[in-house]
Amino acid sequence: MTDITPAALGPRTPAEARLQQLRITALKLRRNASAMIGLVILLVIFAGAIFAPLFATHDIFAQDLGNRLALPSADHWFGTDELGRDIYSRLLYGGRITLYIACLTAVISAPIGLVVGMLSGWYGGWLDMVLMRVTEIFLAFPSLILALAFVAALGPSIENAIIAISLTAWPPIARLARAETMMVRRSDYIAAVRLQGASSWQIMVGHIAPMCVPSVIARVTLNMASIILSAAGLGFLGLGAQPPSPEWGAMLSSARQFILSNGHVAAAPGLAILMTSIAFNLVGDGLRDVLDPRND
Amino acid sequence: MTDPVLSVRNLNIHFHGATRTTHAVRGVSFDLGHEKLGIVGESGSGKSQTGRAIMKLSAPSARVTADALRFGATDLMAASEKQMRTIRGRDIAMILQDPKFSLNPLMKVGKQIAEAYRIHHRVSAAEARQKALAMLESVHIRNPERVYEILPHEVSGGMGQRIMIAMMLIPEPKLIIADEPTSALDVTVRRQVLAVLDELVERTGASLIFISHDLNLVADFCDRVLVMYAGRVLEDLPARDLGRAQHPYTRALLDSLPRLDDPRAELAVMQRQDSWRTAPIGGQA
Amino acid sequence: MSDIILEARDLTIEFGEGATAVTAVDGAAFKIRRGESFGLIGESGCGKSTILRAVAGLNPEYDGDLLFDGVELPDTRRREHYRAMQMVFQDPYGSLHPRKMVQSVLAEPVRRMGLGDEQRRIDEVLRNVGLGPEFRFRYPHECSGGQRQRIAIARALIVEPKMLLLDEPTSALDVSVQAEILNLLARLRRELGLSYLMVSHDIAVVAHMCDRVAIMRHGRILEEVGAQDVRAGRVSEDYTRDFLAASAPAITA
Repeated sequence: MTDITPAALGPRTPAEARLQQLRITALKLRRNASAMIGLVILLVIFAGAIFAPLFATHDIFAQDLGNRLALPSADHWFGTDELGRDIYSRLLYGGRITLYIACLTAVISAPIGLVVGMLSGWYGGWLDMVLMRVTEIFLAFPSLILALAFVAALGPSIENAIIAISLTAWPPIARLARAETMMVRRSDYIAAVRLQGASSWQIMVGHIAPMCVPSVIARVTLNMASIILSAAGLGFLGLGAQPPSPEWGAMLSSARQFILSNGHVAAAPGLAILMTSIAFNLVGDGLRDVLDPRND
Repeated sequence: MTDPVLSVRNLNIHFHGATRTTHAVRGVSFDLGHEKLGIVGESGSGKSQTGRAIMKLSAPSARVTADALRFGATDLMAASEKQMRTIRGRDIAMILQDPKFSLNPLMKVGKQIAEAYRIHHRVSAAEARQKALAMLESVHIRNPERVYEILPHEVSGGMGQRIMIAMMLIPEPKLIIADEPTSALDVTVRRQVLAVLDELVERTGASLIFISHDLNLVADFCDRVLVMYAGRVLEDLPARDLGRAQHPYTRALLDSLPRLDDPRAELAVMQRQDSWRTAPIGGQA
Repeated sequence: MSDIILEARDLTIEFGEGATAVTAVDGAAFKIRRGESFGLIGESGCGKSTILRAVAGLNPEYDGDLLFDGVELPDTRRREHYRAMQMVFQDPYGSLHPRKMVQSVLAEPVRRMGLGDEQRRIDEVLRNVGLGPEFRFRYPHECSGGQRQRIAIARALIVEPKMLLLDEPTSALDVSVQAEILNLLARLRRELGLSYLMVSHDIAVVAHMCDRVAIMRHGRILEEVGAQDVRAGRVSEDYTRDFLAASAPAITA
C-alpha cells in the first residue's frame, strides 16, 4: 500500500531528496490547525521583536510623568506605565529580551542535554549511573531558586539569568535523549554500522543523533514556555534585566502595585508572556506529532 | 446460502490520509455459514481491515461502507456503538496475533478470563473463577490453578495464545475472527494451538474467520478460502481445491512458495497484472 | 588456502550470571566450506541467531573458537574481518536508518573501509540487486519491504565480502517478495562465489537455499543433514522429524 514514486518523478540529487522530505514534514505540520495558529502568533511576536525600531511608536525610555498610567488611546496603543512611558513600544523591545533569553537558553541547554543523554544511553553501566545522578541533582532544583542563588552570587544580569535557567533546562532533554538512544541502540541498523567497523563516537554522531534531534527539537520548543516564565520570574524579582530595561517580567513587577486601579499596565506584559508561551506550546505540540519517529 | 451467520455485501473501506485517500477494501462480498473460512492475502490485501470492519473496530480515519453487513438478524452497519459493545465479546470475538498486546499486563491471566465472562453474564466472582478454570482446562493447559495466578509476561507464546483463546471463547461467541493467531508462534506450537481452536469451534458450533498470509496453514485448517489481493476477493473456493485454484494470482502465489517435496533451482516470481486490481474473478455476487 | 571458510569449535554462549545464567548456545560445532550455503534451523530461543551474531562480531563474549579461513577470529574484530563477513538482517523495516537516504547508506561502508571509487561501487551494487539508480535518493520509508531488503543486501555486498550471514532474510516479507529475494540471493552466491550461513525457522526455505542444514534445539546442534536428505525425510532425530511433519505442505496440486 505504499505509494512508490515512479523513477521519472523522484529526486535526482541528495539535496532534492532532502528538500522533498522537508516539504512533506511541512505539509504534515500544516494540517495541524492549532500548530499553525501558534506559528502565526510566534511569527508576529518574533517580527515585533526583530523589527521593534520600525514598529515602535515612542522612545521606550522617554518618561512623561504628566501622563502616567494612561488608558490605551490613539497616541499610546496600550497606554502608559507608571512613569508615563509607552507600553506598546516597551513591549516590543521587551520581546527582544525575552526571546533572546529563551533562544539562547535553548541553544545552550539542548546540546548539553543531547550529549549527556546520548553518552548515558550508549555506554550504560557506571557512566550512565553517574550522569543520571548528576542529571537528577540538577532536576531537583526548582529553576527559580537555583537562578536566585546564581544571581545572588554573581550579580543580576541577563547573561547570568540565561546561565541559571540553562542549568535547569538541560536535564529533561538529557533524559529524553537517553531514552531515545537506548531504544535506537538495539536496532539492526546500528548493528549494521557496527559491522562496518564504526567507532562508538561515529555511531553516536552519525546515526544516533539524527534520531534524537527531532524529539529534542520538539521537546525544547515545548520547554520554551517554562523558560520564558522563569525568565519573566527572574525579571519580576528584579534579578534579570535591570531597569529601565523593558523586560516583560520587570514590567509586571512595577505594575504590581497598580493592578487593581490600572490593570492594563500589568495586563499588557502579562498577556504578552501568556501568548508567547501558548504559541510555543502549540507549535511544540505540532512538532512533536510530526517529528516523533514513532509515527514513521 | 440460506441463513448465513454473517453476510457481507460490497464492503468498501477508504482511508483518508494526509496526502491521499487509500481504497483499502474494494467491494468485498461473502457469506459465512457454520464453517471455518480462511481469508488469505499478502500485506496490503485488506484482509485484516475486513476482519476489523466486521466488528466495527476500524481506525477512526477509515470510512466503512457496505450494501449489507448482517450478523444473523442484526444489521451491523446500522448498529450503534452501544449495541456493538454488547455484540463484541459475547457474539463476535477476535483473537489477535500477539497475546502480549491483548492481555492486561497488570492483571493475573485467570482474573482476566473470569472478567471476560462476567462482562456478559451476571455471576458471582467465585462462579466466574470456576468457569475460567474450566476454560483453561478446555484449552489443554495442564495446571489451570497455577496458570490462573500468573501474569502475562510470564507466559510463553503458545500458552499465551491458548489463554487468549480461552478468554475470547469463554462467552461462547457465535463468530470468531482470528487475525494471524499463529504467525508469531513456532511451527510445532502452531499445531497445538490450532488443534485447540478447532476443538472449541467444533464443540460450540461457532463460525470462524481465519485471517492469514500462510496459504498452507489455511488450506490445512479451514473449510473454505477467500483469496484477497489489493482489497478485492479474487477467489472463493473450498480449501481442498486450493491446489487447483483458477486465478493466476493464487496460482502464482502457490508457485512462488519453496516446497520440500518439489525442489526447484529458481522460485517462480509473480508477475503482477493490473487486471487483478480491477476485475474480480470468482467470488460471490 | 583451506577448503573450510568458517569453522565453529565448541561454541558456548551464556547470558546473565550465577543463578539466572542462561546457556543460549551449548557446545555448537560446524564447518562451512568455501562457496557452500549452510543453514541453521530451529525454533525461537534455540540459539541460532545468537550463533550468527557471535560469528558476525556483534557479541564478543563467547567460549570456544571461531575460525575464518583457518585463522581464529579475535574478540575485537578489525576492518578486514568486517570486510570478509557481512550480515543481512531479518526486519527490512529496522535494518535501514530511517533518516538516511540509500546513497548515504551505501557510501558509508565504502568510505569507512577506505575502498574508494564510491559512485561506481554504488551504481554497480544497486544494479546487482536489481534496483535502478533512482533508488540512490530514496528514503527507506519510500521503499517497499522487498526493496528495503535489496538495499540491505546491497549494503552488505558493497564491501565485497567473502561470506554473507543471513538472519531470516525473508521471514518478514510477503511470499511473492520472498521468492524474488531468495532468487536474488541464490544468483548472487553463484555469480560472486559467496558462502552463506543462513538462519531460519522455515525449513522449506532452508532446504531450498542451503546445501546442508543443522537443526538446533535448546542451544545444541542436534544433527546436520544434507538438503536432499531433509526433503526425503532421511533424518535421525525425532525432533527433526516433528519439525518436518509440522512444516509439510498441505496443498497438493
